[in-house]
Amino acid sequence: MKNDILKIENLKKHFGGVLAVDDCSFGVERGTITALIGPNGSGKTTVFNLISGVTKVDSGKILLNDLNIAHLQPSVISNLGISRVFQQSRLFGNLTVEENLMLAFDNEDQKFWASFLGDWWRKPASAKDTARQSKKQIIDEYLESMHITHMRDKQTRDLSFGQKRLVEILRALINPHNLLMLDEPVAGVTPELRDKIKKVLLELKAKGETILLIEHDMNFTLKVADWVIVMDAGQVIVEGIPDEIRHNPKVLEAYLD
Amino acid sequence: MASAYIIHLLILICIYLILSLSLNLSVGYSGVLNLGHIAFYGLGAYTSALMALAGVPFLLCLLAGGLVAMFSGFLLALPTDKIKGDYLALVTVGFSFIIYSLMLNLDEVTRGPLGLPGIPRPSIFGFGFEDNFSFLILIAVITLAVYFIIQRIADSPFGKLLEAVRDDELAAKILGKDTFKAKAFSLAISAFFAGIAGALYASYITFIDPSSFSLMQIIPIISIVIIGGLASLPGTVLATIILTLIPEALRFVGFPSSILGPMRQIIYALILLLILIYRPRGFLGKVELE
Ligand SMILES: Nc1ncnc2c1ncn2[C@@H]1O[C@H](COP(=O)(O)OP(=O)(O)OP(=O)(O)O)[C@@H](O)[C@H]1O
Ligand SMILES: [Mg+2]
Repeated sequence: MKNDILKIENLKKHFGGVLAVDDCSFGVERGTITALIGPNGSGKTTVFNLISGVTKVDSGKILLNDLNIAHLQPSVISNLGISRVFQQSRLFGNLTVEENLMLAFDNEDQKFWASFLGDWWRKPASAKDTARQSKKQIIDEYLESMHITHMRDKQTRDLSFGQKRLVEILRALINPHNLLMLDEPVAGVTPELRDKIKKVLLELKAKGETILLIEHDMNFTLKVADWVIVMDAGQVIVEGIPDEIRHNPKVLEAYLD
Repeated sequence: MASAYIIHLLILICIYLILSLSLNLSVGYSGVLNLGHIAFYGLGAYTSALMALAGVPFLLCLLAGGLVAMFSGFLLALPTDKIKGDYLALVTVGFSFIIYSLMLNLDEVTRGPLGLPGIPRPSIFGFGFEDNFSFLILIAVITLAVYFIIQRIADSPFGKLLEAVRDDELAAKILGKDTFKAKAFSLAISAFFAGIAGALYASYITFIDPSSFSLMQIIPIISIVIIGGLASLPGTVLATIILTLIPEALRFVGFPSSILGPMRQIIYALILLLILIYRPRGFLGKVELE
């Protein structure tokens, strides 16, 4: 029995006449990088949307630590420990890099009065202040490790494609989670950035992170993933370790269609 | 007398400032296209006027005007979870129209089109604000307070959350945010200050009727917010002053008042158009909507 953090059971979703996800079942093992691959339109992003509650589930179960999260709201699912990067950039474009990241730490900002009164009624060196300072410090360290410190006060809509990608990954990383889901994190980025992201993912895994990854780039996927799940036409057609997947005739067939 | 005229203008600017600054909170910061702001303004005016006419002290009337508007702001926030963008704007227009109709048709309470005359001028702990100069001092202090409160909200983590919701609500949800609550709060706070503006207006003019709170009255205020720049409070101040003074300047050049009324709308529309073409972020704004 695998130690699965996430279990998908008989998941189904159709849009009008299109069966985007058709009786899909798989698991994500704790502490591993699991890759979801498959040709365009095979339903990978839809699976992500169903897991994170962005799209309503038709039927089936999504078990996060044995709790069925199908039919819960996206914010609730997020707070249960799922963090996600979208296929297209979804940064807060008018906010700066730092502000985007600051929003990810916790939900303290939802408390209107605490947020409004702030340190007015506390001593200057309050717990809140130090919390804020240490958040800034964490952000600085992350930005430094990605070599984008100089971008900190820029509005994110002015960033390049690759920089946006990095900030989105950072934001999802900072957002408290047990499972990190990335939808094509290296699609369209330069080879250097691709290597950087690969390094980051492997470092994260070494720290015990669990990652579910969608990726088209076979080379990238087979290098970072521990387990690969191949989807075609809304169904899981095979799963296995990268070496098996590379030579599996079913996979080659799906990609050639 | 010239100075009396200037004092009157400054008071009007203050009322417009409270209205447009608070509208910027819901429209500019949280991105809710709220065209029902005049309804909150009217609710504040009628609530406080009716209470003042019944002999309730000014500060209580002012507070009640704000609270009633705030409560209706919460009500208007209810559909924001399901309805977005242009459709939501339509809902807020509908809301404004309903409130206007109530003012016009609830004769027993509002006296309908006849309006409410004889509203007392403010009086705080025995000090009366009978003359316009003292009223100006009072409203200037309140306007400053409103400015700093809204700025404080905008700069707080909660304010950043509002901007996140404006830029990408789904992304905010994916970070675990209760975006509905955030929008409801911003609408309610925004409505509260509009109610305060209404209460001040009623006690200044001492007469209100539904015509001051019709749908069309939103045009100058929403124009100010867009021209000054979304989520820019200094921009809103600048735009309020300029847009209030331009029609007055025309009066000086000799335009008769009969033409000035309609001219006003045209001037606002014209400036709005020019801004949207040449400076889509407004005078001092940094925000661009997708
Ligand atoms: N919101 C939607 N409404 C209608 N159809 C949709 C919707 N989302 C996805 N689909 C359809 O569902 C199918 C699966 O799409 P999905 O985006 O999940 O594929 P994907 O595997 O992520 O593809 P890609 O590799 O191109 O990102 C496609 O046929 C797509 O057109
Ligand atoms: Mg996809």
